[in-house]
Amino acid sequence: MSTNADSDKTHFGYETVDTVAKQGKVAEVFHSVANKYDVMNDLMSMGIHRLWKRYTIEISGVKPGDKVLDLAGGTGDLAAKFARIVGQTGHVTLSDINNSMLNVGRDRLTDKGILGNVDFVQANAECLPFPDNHFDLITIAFGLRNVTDKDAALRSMHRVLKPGGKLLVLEFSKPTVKALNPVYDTYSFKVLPFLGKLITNDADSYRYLAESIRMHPDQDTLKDMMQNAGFEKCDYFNLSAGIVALHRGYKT
Amino acid sequence: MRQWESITIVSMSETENTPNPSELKAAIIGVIETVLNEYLGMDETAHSRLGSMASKVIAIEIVGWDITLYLLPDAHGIQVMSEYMGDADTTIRGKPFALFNMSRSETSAATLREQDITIDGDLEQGQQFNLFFKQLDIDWEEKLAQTLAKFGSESNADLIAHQFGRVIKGFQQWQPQAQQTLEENIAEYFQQESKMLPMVEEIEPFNHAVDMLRNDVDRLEARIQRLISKNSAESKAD
Repeated sequence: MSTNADSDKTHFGYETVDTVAKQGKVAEVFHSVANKYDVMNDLMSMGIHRLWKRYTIEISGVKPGDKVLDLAGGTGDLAAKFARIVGQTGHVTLSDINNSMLNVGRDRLTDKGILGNVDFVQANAECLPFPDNHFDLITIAFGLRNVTDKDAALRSMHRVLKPGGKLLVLEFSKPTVKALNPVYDTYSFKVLPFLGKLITNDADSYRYLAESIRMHPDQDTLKDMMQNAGFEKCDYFNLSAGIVALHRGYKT
Repeated sequence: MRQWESITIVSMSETENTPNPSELKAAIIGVIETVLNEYLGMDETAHSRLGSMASKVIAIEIVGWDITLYLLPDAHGIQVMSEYMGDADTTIRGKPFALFNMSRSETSAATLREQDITIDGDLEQGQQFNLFFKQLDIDWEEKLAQTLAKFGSESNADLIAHQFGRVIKGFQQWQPQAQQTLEENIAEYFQQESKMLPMVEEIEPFNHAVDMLRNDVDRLEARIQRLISKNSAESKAD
């Protein structure tokens, strides 16, 4: 867990900051990178983030008529795909705490002609403004590590999910192949900030992204956190040798 | 409480049916979707024509490969999935080569039967989808010129693309002629040199004679049936 309740301190990358300050600092990062977020993601992951998101869609089991909540949905990659699958009888809610990211997502979906079955909600994942038992599926892709109180966020997701509904958490995790670690470290702490500097003129934001990946709970810890929040039949799939893991849990 | 129990049972069965595709499969589907949409993007009218199929789902079952692709078209391209929990509006089933041929050539009920392709569900939708691919009109010369222009001067790009286009068009004209010549040579060998097959001139009178005989037999059968009916009616009257 990232929050230390006794001292009201939490992690912001490798820094320790006041819990109340983290949200503002994360917001600064995403305001800074919003416009070039997708370009940067492509460079950061060498395009593989598209594969990880596709895997999430394939495993989602979403069907026409479903209600989907895409949390930390940012630029709307997942929401666009889900909107086509659920059709006009279903509904997709694209939600992000950051209004810059949400604006980029809204513009992108509108430009793609995706209207009618999508709405956009600026919300904090820790206290979701939706009724109980409302969604068939909740996804949060590369967003949970930026949430200050992850346990509260998971509990909130559990509350708004319908019985029988599913949560999918796509997030950077701990590589399962140890030989990969030196390459991965060099890439994360040297190449990534350099690319950030080059493309968004903001090395610090991307240094934070790399550090926040290292501070995020590993596969089994996150699975335990999901179970503690009330999810059942929790499991996870390591993608690209565990660089990313897709966690799945059900509300029963 | 009872309602809650029933919801729980539904959720358990759903978890058992949840798809678990492999990472490799997801990657392949992603490549297929990207290539397909890049290809469609080369025809400026493709997306507007796809718009009429928005909200439809077409399943392509590739026989022998045990793969089903679900295609979700809309005015911005085609979304491809290997897992789809809803019902497809149309399912087209066939072997890979037959499906490829179907997307390029004229399709009649006879050719579908011949190629062992089946279409289930909304047949009109299936035909419309097939027609969409047949009507794709890609100006390769123009696309090549645009690509080359990025690396050099526009006039040189046009010239190279034009020359390349002439080679491609020459090949397209030569290919059916070459195919026809090959077919004629094969026919000549089997009919005239090896005498394994009869000539068309020999077959046609034979076929005609068989047709005449079949018609005569049909007429005779009808006449005999009429005589039998008449005879049995007279016996009853007596």
